[in-house]
Parts: sequence; structure tokens; C-alpha cells
Amino acid sequence: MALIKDDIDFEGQKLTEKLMQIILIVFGIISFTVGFCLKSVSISCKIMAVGIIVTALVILPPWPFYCKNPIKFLPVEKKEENEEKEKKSN
Amino acid sequence: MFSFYNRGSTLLNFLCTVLPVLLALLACTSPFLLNQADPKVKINVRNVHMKRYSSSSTPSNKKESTMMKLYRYHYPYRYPPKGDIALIDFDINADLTSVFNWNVKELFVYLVYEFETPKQKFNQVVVWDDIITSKQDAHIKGKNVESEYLVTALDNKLRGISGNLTLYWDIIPNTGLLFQKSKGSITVPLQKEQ
Repeated sequence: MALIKDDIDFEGQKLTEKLMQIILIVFGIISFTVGFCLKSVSISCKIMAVGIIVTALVILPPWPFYCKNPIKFLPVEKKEENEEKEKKSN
Repeated sequence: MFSFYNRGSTLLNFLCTVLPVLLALLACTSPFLLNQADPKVKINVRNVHMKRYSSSSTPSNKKESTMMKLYRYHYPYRYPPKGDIALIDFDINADLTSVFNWNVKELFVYLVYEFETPKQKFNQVVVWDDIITSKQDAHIKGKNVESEYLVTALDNKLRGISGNLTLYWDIIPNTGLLFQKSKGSITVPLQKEQ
């Protein structure tokens, strides 16, 4: 997957995991109760399938709100740069 | 969770927890719902045909020739029949609609004739069966139904025997345990043939 930038930052990773668990469990509870009330397993299967698709759409693509806290790297020291330039000139 | 594949893998992993939990809950509801069911079963025996055969006997009427056909079909290794075979005609009115709950895939309904012979304490013979796959078909009505299978004994002696005719049904679930229930037992003596 090097062709497309698909990585997200650490805060985003935490958020995806939480979102995934919440959405799947909520859809599971809904599918069970609706299926029980309507006395149909096929309806609960369909609701669960919708739940899986929704979860996949929410967590799989690298949405912009997962990349709000990028890692701040320390600036590169200038001394090394000068040394490298010297080496190249030599 | 940093890359696309990583997130997909975590999603599938968590699904392997959520879906089995849902299936387990579904299986747990089944016994409670089955306890609430109240099926009504009424069986009435019209006629019992019994005949003692030897190797030389030939069928004398239509009923006896069907019995011979059934015997030939179900016991080809013992054909021609030697000893007693019996065929039961019955009326059935069984309302199994209430048995169908959301965790029932299909019902296997069968009539069992249970009897005791001097040599063998416990005999069960399935005389008729049916598969019900939907709630609409769950009310079984039949008048003067000819049983599909013959009553025979291990020692081929059925004279003077009296047994019970009971309706059994196996509840085949979507998930969970398979339950067997029975109702509507009546006593049926196999009469002597003159």
C-alpha cells in the first residue's frame, strides 16, 4: 500500500479502535433485539451485515480526522549538515 | 492500526468475537421459546391391516399388494416376507405453528409405533414422516392417511401385540441444540387377521 498514503497518527489509531468496538457492539445489540421482536433471524443478519459495512467505511480509509495530531519531530542539528557538506566538497 | 491492512485485520478479529456472541445468545433463547410453545396433536387410527406371510403367499387385495411393495422396497434383503407385517391407516390433526420461533429452521415430524415383544423389550418403528420448512405449513391435517413404512418386529411375530402411536418432532435450529419433543400418544392394538 505504498502507492496511497494510508497511515494515520497515534491519536487516530486509538480513535479507530474505540469507534470500531462501539459501532459493532451497538449494531449487534440492535440486530439481536430487532430480530427477536420481529421473530426473524434473516433481518438480524441483514442488520449485522450493514453494521459491518458501516464499520469498515468508518475505520478503514485514512479519513482526515484521524490525522489531526501528527508527530512533531525534533529539528535536524545543523552541525551534522555542515559536516556532510564538507565531506561532499572533499 | 496504522495501515489499511492493519485496520482490516483488527476489524475481522473483533468480528470473530461479536458474531459468536450473537449466535450464542440466539441459541440460548431457543429453550425458553420452546417451553412457551403449545402444540395441539390429535391422532386417530382408522384401520390396522395385518397379514402373516409365508414364502408361497400372494397378495389377494390392493392393500396387501401395497404392503408387499413397501416390504420389497424397504427390506429387499429379506424379501419375500416371512411372518407378520402391519400397515396403519390414521387421521392426523397436528397444529405445530406455535413451535416455530425465530431459531427454528425446519421440523422433522414423524409418527412412531412403540411396542413390546416377548423377545425384545423396546421396539420403535417409524410409520410416517414429514418435513416442515415454514410456519405456514405447520398445521398438519390428514384424513385416512396410509402410513409410509410397515410395522415389523425383529422376530417377525406381531400377533396380539398392543403398542403406542406417538407423534415426535425434531426441532432443527438455526444455531444451538437440536431438541426432540413428542405428544399425542394413543394405544393401538394390532388385531388378529382371520
